[in-house]
Parts: sequence; structure tokens; C-alpha cells
Amino acid sequence: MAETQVLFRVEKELLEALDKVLSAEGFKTRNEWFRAQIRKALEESKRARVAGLLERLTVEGVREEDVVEMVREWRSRKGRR
Amino acid sequence: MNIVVDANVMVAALIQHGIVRELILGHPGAFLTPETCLTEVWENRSDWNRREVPDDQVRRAIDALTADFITVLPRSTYRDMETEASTLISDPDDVPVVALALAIDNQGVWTFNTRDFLTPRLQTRIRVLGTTDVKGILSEP
Repeated sequence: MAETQVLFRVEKELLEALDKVLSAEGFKTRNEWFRAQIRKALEESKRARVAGLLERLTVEGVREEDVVEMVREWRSRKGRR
Repeated sequence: MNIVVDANVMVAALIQHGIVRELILGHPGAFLTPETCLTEVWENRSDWNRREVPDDQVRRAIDALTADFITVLPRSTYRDMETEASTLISDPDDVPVVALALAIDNQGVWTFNTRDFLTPRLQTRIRVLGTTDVKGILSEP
């Protein structure tokens, strides 16, 4: 794995506060925590992008049984063709 | 984690607000579907695209959903299981979903179609999941 070093400036108090919660959250090092935060942020960004795209397709009031009926209907049409 | 989804679940994720979409978007890569399912959903978009969103935007939404959240598997993955699958489920359009579930390690098939999927014979070979079951599986530590 190719790695790039990143330097951050952060207030001393903030870093001390982070160090206190690191192990409680299951991280051994700041580096491990930082990587996890990057992954989380990227995942969240992807999720928000897809949610935005799906929002345009969203129809209010559709229930699971309506979807089943819809799929059944298009399959039965196919059967008639 | 591998949960196989059928066409009903794909359509619900595309057009329905709520738990189905949340579960899928909340668990990238946990879901799989056969390529025929995706084709079926695309070919019948005039039925579910009730807001008449232009095709290029529909395509973009489907592409984004399948790029990171639902993995689409080619027929070569499950072709060998299609014969057995066709003896287990009555609707030929459901055969690829069942075949995929027979072909790979998975936690079950997520469907809303209990009429066709909840048969004793099929349930001896695959686990059929409702939305509540999927929620339970995904919240396991």
C-alpha cells in the first residue's frame, strides 16, 4: 500500500480530547482513527449522492405489496406478448 | 455479508422512501442481484418511473445504486444452478434469483413476494427473508 503522510495543525486541547476517546472507540492510534474517519466520510458522501439521485424517482405512498403487484403485472404482460 | 435481492426489492429501493432504501444504502456491498433482475427492472421502468424522470437520470441512479450498494452478478455465476432453481420456483422470472442463491454463500433471498417464495420445497434449499429479517441480520454484531 502506497502511503502519503499528512500533517495537520490542531489545537492542543482538541488533540488531548481526541486521545481520551480514541481507545474507548476501539482505535489503537490516531492514524487508525483518521483512516476510519476518511473511509466513513467517503462512504457517507457516496450514500448522500445516491440518495439524492433516488429522491427524484421517489413516489409517495408506495407499499411493498404495491411493488409486488407492479412486478406481477409487467410479468403477466410479458406472458401475453 | 451476502443477501440476494429480487426485482421487487430493487424497485422499492428505487422509488420508495423508508426502510428498504435505508438498509441498502446503509450497508454498501452487502447485497447481490443477478444481471437479469437489473435488466428486468430497466426494461420495465415505464411501470415504476411514475414521475417520468428522463432515462439518462434513471440510468445514473441505477448505476450509482449498483456501483456501490447492490452488486450485479453475471449469469455465468449462477448458470449451473438454473436447472435446479427452475424446479424450486414456479415463476421463470424468479429462477435467476433462486439460482444465484444456490450458487453462492449467502444469508438468504430478500423478497416481498411471499406467495411464490415461501414454499416448503424452496425453503429447504434457501433462506427466504422479509424486510424485518434483513434488518435483524444487518444489526447483528
